[in-house]
Amino acid sequence: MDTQRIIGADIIMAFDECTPYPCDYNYAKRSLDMTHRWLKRCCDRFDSTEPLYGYEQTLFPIVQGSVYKDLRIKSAEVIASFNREGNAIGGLSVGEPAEEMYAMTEVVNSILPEDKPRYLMGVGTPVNILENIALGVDMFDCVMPTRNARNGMLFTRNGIINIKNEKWKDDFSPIDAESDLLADRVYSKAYLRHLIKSQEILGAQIASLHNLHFYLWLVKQAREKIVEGTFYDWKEKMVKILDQRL
Amino acid sequence: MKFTLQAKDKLSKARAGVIETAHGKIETPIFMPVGTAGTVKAVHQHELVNDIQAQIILGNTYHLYLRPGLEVLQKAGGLHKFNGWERPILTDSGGYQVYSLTEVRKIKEEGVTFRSHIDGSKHLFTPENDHGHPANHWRRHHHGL
Repeated sequence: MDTQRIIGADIIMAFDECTPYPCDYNYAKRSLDMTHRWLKRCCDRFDSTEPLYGYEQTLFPIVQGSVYKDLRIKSAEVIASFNREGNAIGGLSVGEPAEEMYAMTEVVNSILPEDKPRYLMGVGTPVNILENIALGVDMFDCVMPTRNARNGMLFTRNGIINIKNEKWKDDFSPIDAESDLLADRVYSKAYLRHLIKSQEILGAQIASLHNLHFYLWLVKQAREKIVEGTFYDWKEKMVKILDQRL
Repeated sequence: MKFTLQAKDKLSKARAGVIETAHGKIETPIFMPVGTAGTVKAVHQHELVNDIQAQIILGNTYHLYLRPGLEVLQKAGGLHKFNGWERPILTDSGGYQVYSLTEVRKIKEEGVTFRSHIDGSKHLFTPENDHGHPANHWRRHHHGL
């Protein structure tokens, strides 16, 4: 806690053990109990210290329990009982099938309070994000849009592009002609392919910019559809498209 | 921090809301770009703000603790001042990287002992991190446990 006080982020996370996948039941159970004891220590420390830079910080606890429904239920109940201002779900997106991830999110979200933000840590692909929004998750993070960008994987509204593929070699069309991102309209697929293949720094920059812009566009669209009342049909349509390999 | 729900989807559990922090508002659902070592790799802050329109970014405690270290971050006045990002930031606890990046580690009730993936030096992360005044933290961990 003191470390995160010094770094000074607005939202800071409890210290937990994120179990690997696969993880045997007994290990997951013992780990979970320790994570809950650690949470008590985190809260005690956090509540007895002041922020260092004059603005408020908020502590989110983390639900664990691997892919075991009973452990997830128990953890969500313990985490909810701490009554912090927001809650997180950890230990998912660590190699388990997507269906197991969704099943865990669903059961945990049925217990975590509705009036507090829910943060699903380390998730995920564009489809994972939309499916988990549909299950009541509010916040996501993932290295995928930036890490995969540096390897030439582009996430787009029409599906996934591996820009290193031969087929983009002489495709001089823009990365995304409909995008409101200047770089998407200015640079062609063939040019970006050349930059990534040549390991040029600009290639990593353009691809990272593209992917992050797309991720932020996606969640903004989701938000607008929720407000409009058309989210579910839009989501069903999008998840069929976003996983396609172009 | 304040969270306000604004809308709920009828056919799913999806919801739209606003989180208010000391560094501004976050409209949810939101994706948070990962700024591992205080930088979202290969992306300028002005691109994050103007092009990507990121509302909050992540920092990784494990990486920031090892480099540049807490002494520098505290002298800077925190990560916002250090990297010039004026919007909200979220940091993880460092646990995840300890489990995924370090080979030598021991998990005990007290906390986790590990060796830095950068120089092999030995460190301890606990829920409290640390046991004294925050300013002592860096010295304590860099001069043996």
